[in-house]
Amino acid sequence: MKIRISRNISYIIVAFIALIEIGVIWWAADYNRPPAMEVTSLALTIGIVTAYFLMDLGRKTELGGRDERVELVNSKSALRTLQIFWIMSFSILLGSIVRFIDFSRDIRRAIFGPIFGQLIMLVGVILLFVAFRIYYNNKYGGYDTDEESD
Amino acid sequence: MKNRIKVFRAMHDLTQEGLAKELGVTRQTILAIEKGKYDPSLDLAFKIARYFEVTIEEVFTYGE
Repeated sequence: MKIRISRNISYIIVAFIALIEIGVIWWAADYNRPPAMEVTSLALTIGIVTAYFLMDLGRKTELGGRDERVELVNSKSALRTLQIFWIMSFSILLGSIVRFIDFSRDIRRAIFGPIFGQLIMLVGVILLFVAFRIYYNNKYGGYDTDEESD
Repeated sequence: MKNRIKVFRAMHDLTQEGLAKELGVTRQTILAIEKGKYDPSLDLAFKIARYFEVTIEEVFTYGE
């Protein structure tokens, strides 16, 4: 029997698997004695393998119905997700700095701490986005010289 | 952009699913084009026109 699953459903199930994994890790950190490590490893392995098969199933289902409109939907969704993800992450991280870091104690610890690391990664995302824009602009003729102005 | 795909489909006694298969796209894409929610690429527009053996202007009309 051939199992068919839409790509959206596969994404949603994978998101729930990720939530369960977070729950297992949370439990393991809290429990902190055997067999927490073994259970976590097993849960992570099962989760990753299941997620891989679900994504593959979703991809195969969509391949039959993949065309230019689906590509447009995917690229617009991806760009909008990136924009919202960036704004939310930046806001939450800045909020975390104000909430948890004691600036009067040692500013260097704050600058090189994990929150600042994540903020720098977000800046990296913008640079990566610009790099891809340059690459695709070049690929699709954005930097070609005008023959009439030569 | 307006189009007359529905008319040409009727003339060729073709369903949206049938046309989609002939053109290698999804039925939803044909539906979206017919409803004016999606403007096809030049490539797909030419494919549609060639399938019905008419010019592209006979199928698509530019305008709001």
